[in-house]
Amino acid sequence: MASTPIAGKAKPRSFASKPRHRRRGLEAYLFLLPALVLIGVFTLIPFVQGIVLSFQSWDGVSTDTPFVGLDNYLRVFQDNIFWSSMLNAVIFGAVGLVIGGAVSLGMAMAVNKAKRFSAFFRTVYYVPGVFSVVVVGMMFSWLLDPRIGILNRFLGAIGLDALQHNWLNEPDTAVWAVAAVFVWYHWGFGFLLFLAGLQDIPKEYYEAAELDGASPWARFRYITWPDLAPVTTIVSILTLLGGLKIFGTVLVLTNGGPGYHTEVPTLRIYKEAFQFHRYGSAAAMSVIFGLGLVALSLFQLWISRRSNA
Amino acid sequence: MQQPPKISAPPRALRVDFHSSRGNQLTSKARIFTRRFAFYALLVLVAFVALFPIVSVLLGSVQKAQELYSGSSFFPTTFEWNNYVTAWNDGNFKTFLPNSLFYTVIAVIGILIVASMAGYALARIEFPGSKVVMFLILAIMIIPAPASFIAVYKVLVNMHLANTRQGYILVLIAEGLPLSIMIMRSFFVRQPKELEEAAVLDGSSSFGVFWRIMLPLARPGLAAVAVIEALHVWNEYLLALVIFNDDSLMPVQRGLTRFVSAETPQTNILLAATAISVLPIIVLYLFAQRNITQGIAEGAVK
Amino acid sequence: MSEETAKRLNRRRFIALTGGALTAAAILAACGDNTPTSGTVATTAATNATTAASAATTAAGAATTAATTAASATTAAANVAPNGIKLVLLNQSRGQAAALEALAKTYLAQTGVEVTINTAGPTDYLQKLQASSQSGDMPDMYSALAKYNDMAPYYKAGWAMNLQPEMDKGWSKNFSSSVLKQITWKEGNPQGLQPGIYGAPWEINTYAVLGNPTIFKKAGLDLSTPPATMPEFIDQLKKINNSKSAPFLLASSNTALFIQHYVSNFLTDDEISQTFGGKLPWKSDAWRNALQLIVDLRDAGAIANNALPTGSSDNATGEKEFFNVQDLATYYDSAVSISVAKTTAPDFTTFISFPLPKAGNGKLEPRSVGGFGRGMAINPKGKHPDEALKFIKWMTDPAQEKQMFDTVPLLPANPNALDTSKLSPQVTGFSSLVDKTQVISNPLKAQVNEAMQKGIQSLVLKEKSVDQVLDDLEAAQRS
Repeated sequence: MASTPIAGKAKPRSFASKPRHRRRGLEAYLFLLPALVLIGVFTLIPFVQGIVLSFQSWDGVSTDTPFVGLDNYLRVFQDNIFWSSMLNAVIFGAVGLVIGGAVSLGMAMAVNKAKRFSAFFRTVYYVPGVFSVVVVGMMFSWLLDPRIGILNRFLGAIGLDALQHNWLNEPDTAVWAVAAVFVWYHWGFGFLLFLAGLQDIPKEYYEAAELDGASPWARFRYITWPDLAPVTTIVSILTLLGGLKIFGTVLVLTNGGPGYHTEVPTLRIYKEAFQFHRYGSAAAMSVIFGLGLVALSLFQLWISRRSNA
Repeated sequence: MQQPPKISAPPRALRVDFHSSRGNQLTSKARIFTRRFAFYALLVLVAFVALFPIVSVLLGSVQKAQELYSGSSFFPTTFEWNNYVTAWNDGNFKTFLPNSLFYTVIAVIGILIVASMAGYALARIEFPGSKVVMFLILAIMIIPAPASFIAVYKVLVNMHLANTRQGYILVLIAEGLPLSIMIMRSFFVRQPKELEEAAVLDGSSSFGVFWRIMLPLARPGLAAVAVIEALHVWNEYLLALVIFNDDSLMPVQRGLTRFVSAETPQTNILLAATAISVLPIIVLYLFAQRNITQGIAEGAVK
Repeated sequence: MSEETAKRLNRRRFIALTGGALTAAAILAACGDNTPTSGTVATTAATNATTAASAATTAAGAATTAATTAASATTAAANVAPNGIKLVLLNQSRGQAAALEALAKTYLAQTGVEVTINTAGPTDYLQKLQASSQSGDMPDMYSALAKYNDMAPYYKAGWAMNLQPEMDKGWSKNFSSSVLKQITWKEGNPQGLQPGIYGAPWEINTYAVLGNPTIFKKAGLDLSTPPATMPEFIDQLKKINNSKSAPFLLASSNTALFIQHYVSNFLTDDEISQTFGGKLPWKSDAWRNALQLIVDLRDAGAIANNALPTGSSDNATGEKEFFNVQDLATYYDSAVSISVAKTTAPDFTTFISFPLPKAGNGKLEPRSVGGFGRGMAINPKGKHPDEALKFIKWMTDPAQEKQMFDTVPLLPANPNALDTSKLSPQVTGFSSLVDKTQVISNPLKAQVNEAMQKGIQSLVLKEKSVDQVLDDLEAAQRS
């Protein structure tokens, strides 16, 4: 047992035999072919068109789309609201990553360990994510209503009147209320992936560790965490991105309000396109925002690679 | 990835634990009990937080419209099961539900096949351009494109696939690929290299290695992707609205939006319709999560 | 093979079989339905008709009038056989869907022309319309919204027939003179449209204040004579606030309209139009007075919860408070709210509507915002534009508009459709303003609309001053 190698990314020794290398390349692309074709046709084309659109002017309907050079980008750089909305995106991203990630990991580990009713808990914890964002927005608008909402009524009933707030409409609480709903809505995603990831860790490691007398924290730190590394990486990136790109939750709950307190970049892009009818500058916003997201993701990948190396 | 240090590393911890279990047998049993009780209490508390809004939705779905809107009582005073009948009929579930089932099943199967192949290639095969492909997929997944649905629709029109089931499903698969590929890749990456090498030495082809060995090992990942993508497809609406002109091809979400209207809100019916529409997803999840936890418990290499 | 692998394969086979069975069942069910390529219009019409019928039975009483009226109309007119002409109408309004479908059925019986009503719903209508325009399969008729900014791109791209010639030939009798003025695009409009008329409305929308007499009574006030001036109104709201009831609300998304409504006390329609067009400054005393109203309401404690509702369904939230929870004394809303009341709170019939009280320091008679509501635009590039035109003309006749009023309900644009003396107190506030609406030639820029909404939210929260908000409006106008 002790000689059993532990699962992980062992670095392959590349024998410098050219034909084998070329054959592997061909194999790889064969495996990738269906994906590349589908993505190429249905995703890449709109993607490239979006980039081209950022240099044009379009109202969404007309057939001519005149080239305007960098005008759109200039306008976006002067759009203060767009840039200040980035701050909220960062808040949502951080909350989603740290709190959402910790909660879903904790829940996955707890459910994995529970012997009774585990199926019940597994289902219940995933359920928040199955509803559409419109219904979730509706649910929480009710729950958080200042007069008839359950939360304030409950606080009043137990005598904590001072804690009652107009959760979604007060500048101090709006962002956190939306963030809380966001975490609630999306924890199922990380939960599911972590749960799946935990399955592959052989039980023998834990048994051996317990026999050796390791504390639960040591077991987590030296077995669970390293083994989950690839899953943690992907979940981190996805939850961070999900938070940064938050859209539906904000739209339904506050529409960026009160004032601009919960405004986020995706909402600005949406309004620029569909309400102001300036698809060109909306595309420019998407490119700028998207590049920022890509940079952030690469940064995060680099960090996780360093901590695992 | 590094080799984890020897498990028996901290001897001090060893001594402390040993000591407590040696000591008072009775209190340790009580301690175990309280710890377990606290553990389950915490689980139940989180379950409450997860379920509470949903319970209020379910309760609302059997209330009369007036009662629901006035918020006068949390628990329904009369149980209007009729709401479900109205939801079924007015939401045209009879047509939309089989459509959604069809789209979800086919699209998810398509995604699983294509994404697992692509994920495998990116995870296990070292080939020139792998970094570029990964970067591209990542970029596509990350950068938002606000009016992309228009471009996608135009592509379908040019391919004469607009207003067809095939067209819709192809787009669904394409949309779900970037995320699924990244997830599958992360599951393949963790598998030990030795399995593959052994199979190759045995004379198995690349595809054989993939199909017979790596794929079954990544079953929890497959199940997770299936659930995630099924949910995406099931809740998808904008593309269906744009691509389909015929109501007979529409998915379940179309029926739901019938009850979302500022002028004639029918929120209680909407809640009932929502309850009906999430049932298949929950059934799928119940089915899939057994697959997630039936991982290879006996060890990776035998 | 080891035992586990064998078990795994068996399990997998089972899973594969169930999956296959499920797929097969789904395919059978899905394909067993109507084939999508042929006979679609008929099937969709059938589905829509059944939906219309069931919707009519489940909705409150007035809807049955629609069914009986449609039935009686069918029996009254001679039954004409279908002549093969099929039109598609893309409808934005879910509230009007049932009425439109019933009328389409009547039209089919009368003329043999089949009109299919595709209802996209308010949230998705524009996306659907946009995608249709891009792929070249625009419907024969589509909802012409009252929002200029959203419809202008389509009119500009040639997707709407110019109805001015027909109007000049006598169709104009179906519209009141103020509506006609509002729907005519003039020479030199900022959207760059050729002058003309591009949409035919059958609905008039006005904005007024809804009032709950019971709450007024609780504060010792009598709502049977509504307040005529704003100082009087604010005074009453103060008393209501002191009696622990919620005084006044309006939705964030309606705030720009509210200000535009109130500023008509100080500016003429022409001056308002010019400000919207960027030719007159926002930083003027008139607009300052208008925004000051918000500050006055705030300081008098008249705004319930000290905050305006936000979110994409903020108006629905406010309407819920007024109609369902019934603890809100007054609410500023459009005539469309009457249909909301009918659906969600049919028993609440004691509320009234009254015009927005005029300013204490105003010079002019205030005029309501809104004016022409929704109607239809006709696609000149469709297969049967002349038939579509005939249908829309028929829809604007008094009989049809009266039916829309009874069933939806909505205020008809045809002045001959209604007997205004027979209207209930719930509607009279709105209907009395039908001839007192603003005629604005330049629509408000979308960016300014947003700046106004956000600015007013900030005013209520005491985060900005009136002058700061006016600066924001100027900046947005120039952006």
